[in-house]
Amino acid sequence: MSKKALNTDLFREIRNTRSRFCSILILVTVAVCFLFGLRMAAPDMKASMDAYLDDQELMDVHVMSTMGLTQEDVDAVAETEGTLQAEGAYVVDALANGGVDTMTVKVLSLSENGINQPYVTEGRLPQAADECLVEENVLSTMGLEIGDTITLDTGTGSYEDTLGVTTFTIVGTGTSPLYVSMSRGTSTLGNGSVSAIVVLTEDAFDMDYYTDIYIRTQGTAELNTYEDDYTALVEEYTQRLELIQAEREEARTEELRGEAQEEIDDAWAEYYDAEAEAQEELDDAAAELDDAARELADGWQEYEDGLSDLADARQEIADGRAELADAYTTLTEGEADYADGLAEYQDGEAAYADGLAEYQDGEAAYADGLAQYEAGKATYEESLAEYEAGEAAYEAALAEYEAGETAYADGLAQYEAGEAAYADGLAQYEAGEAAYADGLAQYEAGETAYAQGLAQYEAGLAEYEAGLEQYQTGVSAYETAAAALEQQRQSLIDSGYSDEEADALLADAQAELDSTWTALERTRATLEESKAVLDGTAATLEASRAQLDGTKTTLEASRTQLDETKTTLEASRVQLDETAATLEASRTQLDEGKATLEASRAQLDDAKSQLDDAAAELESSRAILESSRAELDSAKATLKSSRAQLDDAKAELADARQELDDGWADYYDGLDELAQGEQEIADGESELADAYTELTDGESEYADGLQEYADARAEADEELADARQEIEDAQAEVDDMASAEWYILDRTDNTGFASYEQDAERMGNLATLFPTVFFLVAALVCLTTMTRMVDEQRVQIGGLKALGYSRGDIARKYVGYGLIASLTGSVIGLILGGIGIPWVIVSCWKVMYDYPGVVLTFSWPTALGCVAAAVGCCTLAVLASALSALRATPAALMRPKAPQAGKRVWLEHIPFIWKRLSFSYKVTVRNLFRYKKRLWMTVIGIAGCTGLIITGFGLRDSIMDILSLQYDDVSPYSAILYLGSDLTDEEGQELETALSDEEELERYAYVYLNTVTLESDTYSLSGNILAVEDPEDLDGFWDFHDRITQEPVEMQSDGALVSEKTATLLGLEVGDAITIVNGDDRGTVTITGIVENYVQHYVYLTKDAYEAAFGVRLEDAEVLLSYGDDADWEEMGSRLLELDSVAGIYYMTEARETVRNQLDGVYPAVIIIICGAAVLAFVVLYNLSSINITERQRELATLRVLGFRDKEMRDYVFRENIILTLIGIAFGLVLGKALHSYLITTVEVESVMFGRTAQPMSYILSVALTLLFALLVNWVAGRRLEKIDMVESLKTVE
Amino acid sequence: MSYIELRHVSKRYQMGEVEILAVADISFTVEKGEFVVIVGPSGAGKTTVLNLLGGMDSCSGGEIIVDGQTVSGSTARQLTEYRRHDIGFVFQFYNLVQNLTALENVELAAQICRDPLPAEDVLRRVGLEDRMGNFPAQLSGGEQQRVAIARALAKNPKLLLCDEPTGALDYVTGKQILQLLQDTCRKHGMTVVVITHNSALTPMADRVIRIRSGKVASIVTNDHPTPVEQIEW
Repeated sequence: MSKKALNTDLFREIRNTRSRFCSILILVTVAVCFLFGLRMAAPDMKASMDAYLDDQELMDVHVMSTMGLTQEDVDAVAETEGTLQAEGAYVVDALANGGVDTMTVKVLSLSENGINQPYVTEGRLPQAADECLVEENVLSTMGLEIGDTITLDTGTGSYEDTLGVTTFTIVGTGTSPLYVSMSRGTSTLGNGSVSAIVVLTEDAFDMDYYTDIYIRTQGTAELNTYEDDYTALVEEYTQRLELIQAEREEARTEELRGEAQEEIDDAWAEYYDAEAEAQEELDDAAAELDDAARELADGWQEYEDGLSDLADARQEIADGRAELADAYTTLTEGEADYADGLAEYQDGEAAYADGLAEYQDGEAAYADGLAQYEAGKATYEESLAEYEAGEAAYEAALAEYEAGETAYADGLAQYEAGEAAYADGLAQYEAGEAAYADGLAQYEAGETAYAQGLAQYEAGLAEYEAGLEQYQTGVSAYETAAAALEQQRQSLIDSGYSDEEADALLADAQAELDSTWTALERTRATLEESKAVLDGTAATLEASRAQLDGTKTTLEASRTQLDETKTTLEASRVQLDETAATLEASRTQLDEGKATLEASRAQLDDAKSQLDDAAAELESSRAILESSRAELDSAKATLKSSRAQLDDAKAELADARQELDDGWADYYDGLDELAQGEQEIADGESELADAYTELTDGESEYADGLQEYADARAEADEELADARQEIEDAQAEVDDMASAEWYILDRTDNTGFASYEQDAERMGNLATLFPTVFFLVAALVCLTTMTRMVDEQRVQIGGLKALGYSRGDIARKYVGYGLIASLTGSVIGLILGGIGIPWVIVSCWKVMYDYPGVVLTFSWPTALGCVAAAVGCCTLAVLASALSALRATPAALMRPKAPQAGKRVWLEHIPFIWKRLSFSYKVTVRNLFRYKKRLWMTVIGIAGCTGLIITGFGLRDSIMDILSLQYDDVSPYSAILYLGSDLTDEEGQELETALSDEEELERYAYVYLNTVTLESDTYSLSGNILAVEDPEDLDGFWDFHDRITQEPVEMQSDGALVSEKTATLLGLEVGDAITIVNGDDRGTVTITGIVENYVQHYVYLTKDAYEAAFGVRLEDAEVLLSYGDDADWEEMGSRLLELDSVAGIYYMTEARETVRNQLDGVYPAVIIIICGAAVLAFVVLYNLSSINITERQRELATLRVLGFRDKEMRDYVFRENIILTLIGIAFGLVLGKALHSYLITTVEVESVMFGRTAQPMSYILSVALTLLFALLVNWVAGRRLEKIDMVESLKTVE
Repeated sequence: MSYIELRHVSKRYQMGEVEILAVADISFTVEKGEFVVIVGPSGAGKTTVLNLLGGMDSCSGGEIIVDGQTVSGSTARQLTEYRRHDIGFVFQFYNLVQNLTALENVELAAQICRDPLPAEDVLRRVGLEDRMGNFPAQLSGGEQQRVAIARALAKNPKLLLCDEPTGALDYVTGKQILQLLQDTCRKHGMTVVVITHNSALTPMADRVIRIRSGKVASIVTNDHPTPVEQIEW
């Protein structure tokens, strides 16, 4: 194909979207891992078991007979067609002893040909007759090790003397393929329940018949033992074997009957011999007894005489002894008095010495106190003087300070006056200055005016002088003119003209001259006026001059004065400043002084109070001293008087001592005398005693002989009668001896083999539920993820379409993506799931079953089915989302897909709620409703996780619950005491006494408890029967109630109660009949009630009901014991075990522990479920957050540009996640409850009913875990949020 | 000191092994209340300048000072605070949150800053008093851009940064938006920086900064900006 570019694109796509690819891959991995792993669990369990059984060459068919099997039987079987191997074997029950405990065991013979070969875990198989292989629990229970020995006791029943050897060395440990489950069957020995197997060589058995024939058939080893073809093959063989069955049964019966008759005949002969012999022996014994009786009568007479002699001597001695006793009493009293006196005297001495010492101490203390007091007083006085001096100094300083204050106030007043004066002066000076300046200005103006006036004047003068000159010139001109006129006139006159005529002629000139004159005269007047004015001006000027000069002088004077004033003011300024400084200094000094004064005041006050305290103290110590003086004086007087008293007492004591010593000497002499007398009597007595002993011995010997004789007689009679009876019984037995009966059994009749198959199928059931949930969620996530991917690539799809690529080519990329992811995931899942999960599960079941190895198988159909489911889900999801995009036209694809429009949500129409929501919550609510698909995905995903986790934890709860439910609520008794069989009345009485004497024992009840087989038409199982005399006997031991209603259920006398699980398995209800097989007895009772019970199957009934059904009255065989938790039960147990009537004791703490150990095996399953749920939770949440972020990248980028802080961004996105998580959790709680109750019934083992409910704590824990995952994912996704590029917001809408 | 000052700003991007110098050396100033158009052909570095000025990216060299505050060299957290309080951003494609009504979109911005303007008032100011309760999908492009402008203004920012605000709008609507921006600048004294490749818009600006190949080609101050209605393109 030349479309290489598309492939390149696909691989780049995968590389670029690693996290998306990985999440799909992981989801597919987990889903396939779970589906395949759980699906393979059942086949692997079966394969593991099959491999083990094949390795150990377990028999395929097994023949048992009611009367044993012979070598002929074996040969006959071997000749049957289809037999590969047939071999006789021995199986017997025994009690194993040795070490610290006794166990009931099944003893198996070791095949020489390897059939049912034990699986050796340690050591080796037995080779010699005195070697054995045991199960490991034998070692742990009995506290033994390999190399130790055990003894096997086959009891007195059907297994008596079946072993030729009874002590065996343990050479190895292991298990037998015949017993793969925990159950080892039942026995008539011990407590009825077999707890282990022991394997011996055939040589160790001393039996003339085989108990079992084990057969391996041809062609079955190659087949899986749990497959149908194996079953068919074995079925066919069994039918062939049944053909020889009748013949062999008949042969065996005849053989046995013949042997028995022979034995009986021998017994009769033996019996008659024994009878004769016994009679002869008894006659001899009677003669011997008569001689002995005569001898005894003589001896008694002699003994009586000796007795009367002795009585006299004894009276004498008694009198002497009484006398001495009186003396002794007197002396001891005197001694006691003396000792009391002495003690009193010594006490007095000691008291005196103590008093003296005390007195001296008191004196010393008094002297010290006095010295201290005086020193204190001196100190006080010194301090007082010091204080007074301080007071005086303080007063002086205060006075000084006050004087200073006054002086300061004066200075301040003076300073302030000075300041005022200075201010006045300054004002005056400044006024002067102003006046001066005004004057100066006036003066200068005057000067100017003067200068102007002067200038005017001078100008006027000059004008005047000019005028004067002009005038003078005019005058001279006039004079000249006048002269000229005169001349003219003269001339005229001369010339003839009369004067008049001349005058007339000259009138004009004359007029002109006159006017000139007039003018001149006017000028002269003017000039003179000007002259006058000028002169006035000159005078005025001169006056102003003088005035100005005066003013100048005045001004100069005031200048001088002002300057002086200024100088004065400056001087006073300086003085004032100094004064101010001085005042401030003195202020400071005064303040300091004040502070100092206050400080010294405080000091003085302190000193005063201290002094007062000291005075008080001194006063009190003085008082103390005086009182101690008085005390001391009185003590001195007392001491003196006691001294005198003591001296008197000493003298008295010495006298008393002397008197006592004399008395004692007398007493001892008397004592010696008495002793001699007594010795004599004792000798006589012992002689008599010897004689008496001899006589009584003889007497008892005679009695014994008599008794022996009687016993022997009775015994002989009884023995003979028994023997006769026995022989007669044997004869009867032989007469109606049943014929032998064969049982042909195959592997399915083996309890462990069959229940293992059921358990494996249960695990198979488990495989349906979990993977379904996983697949559902995985498919949802794949769908969303791939839809998102296609959406993101719309433009590219459009581009490719536009380029002309076909739909198929384009779809190939997306399908390829899904295919690669799911295929890779599937393969990884197949590997992980195919190995890991079966391994864990098979290992778990190994706790319940004994098989060594895990065999993993691989089933192609299952594997391919899982892969097809995973790949199909994923690829279809891709195809669906890709096809919808591919259907669009390229143009439509290249256009941006319109963003999902916002809408009002219904919540907004409920203003009551909507108004209360904050803005951010409104946004969140809208977003939730906007992306509905995501909402459902998340809710379903989270619900799935929570549900799965709850189931996981719930599983654990249900399992752990049953311990407390069973052993605290249903059957709260503490131990079972197993009684020996056929108890005598005395033994019964002894037991009753022992039980009622046990103080710590709260209650006990006699019951019959035995392992039985319970059957219905459809099913049969191994259970227990509990029968009591009276239902009330069980109060406090067994609580019968309905599980759901907790209503008590009464035990009826005409029917039985059945435990719940038993009824369910057998398909029985109240009113139905249940068949009970108890040993050889078989009976049917009606079910009257179904009761809560968890561990094992039980039928409870009264003995009456049992008798009605079986026709047999049951004897009590067990006692249920109940004691407090703090009882010393080990001690009690060992006390009870010492009783002959008690065969064993089983503590419920042990039962609890055993069940707990078995149940612990389920933990790995719980962990697998929780881990799976965790992975699911994480992937789902991560994927959804991731899609959420990518889908809204642009919106988020915009928010960042708007300045949303990281935290606000996170809140914006994750508030939705958290709300969805919470909703999902709510659904998950419901889902988890449902899932858990379904699962519990699926995984239960047959003998145990699991608790039906999960603890509240498990719900809480599951919720917490889911929240934790959610927060973790939010945290991881939050980091992605921080990396969103803001530039996204600028890009074109894609 | 100008209101906004860029001094020798440069920006390098490391794209794989290649180092790209998106902005070489840019210096310009903007005064308070100015209407500035940064114009240049595609790839000239306009958007880089916008990113740097808008606090969406930090510069490799030089200094950016806004209202006396040095923006360059801030930490991511400080840049967030800067965007939050100082910058109003108007996008080419409006970038409204589809799920919020017009009013809520404005409130979205308003609720995070120090002294926001009332959302209703701002919407009224941009002429959307009747469409406050509508979702973006129910609004025309021009109306959406108005909401975007209202959202930027509600933050009461120091600077309104507009990236091709008319890029996705038709001629008439584009003009209305520009009118709104110019009015915002003139009437409310907002400093507006418009980044565009459309040279026709330059006459309406107080200051035109031309960028070419990561460098400032010219800065022209326009004493008499042309009113928007007279601009044709």
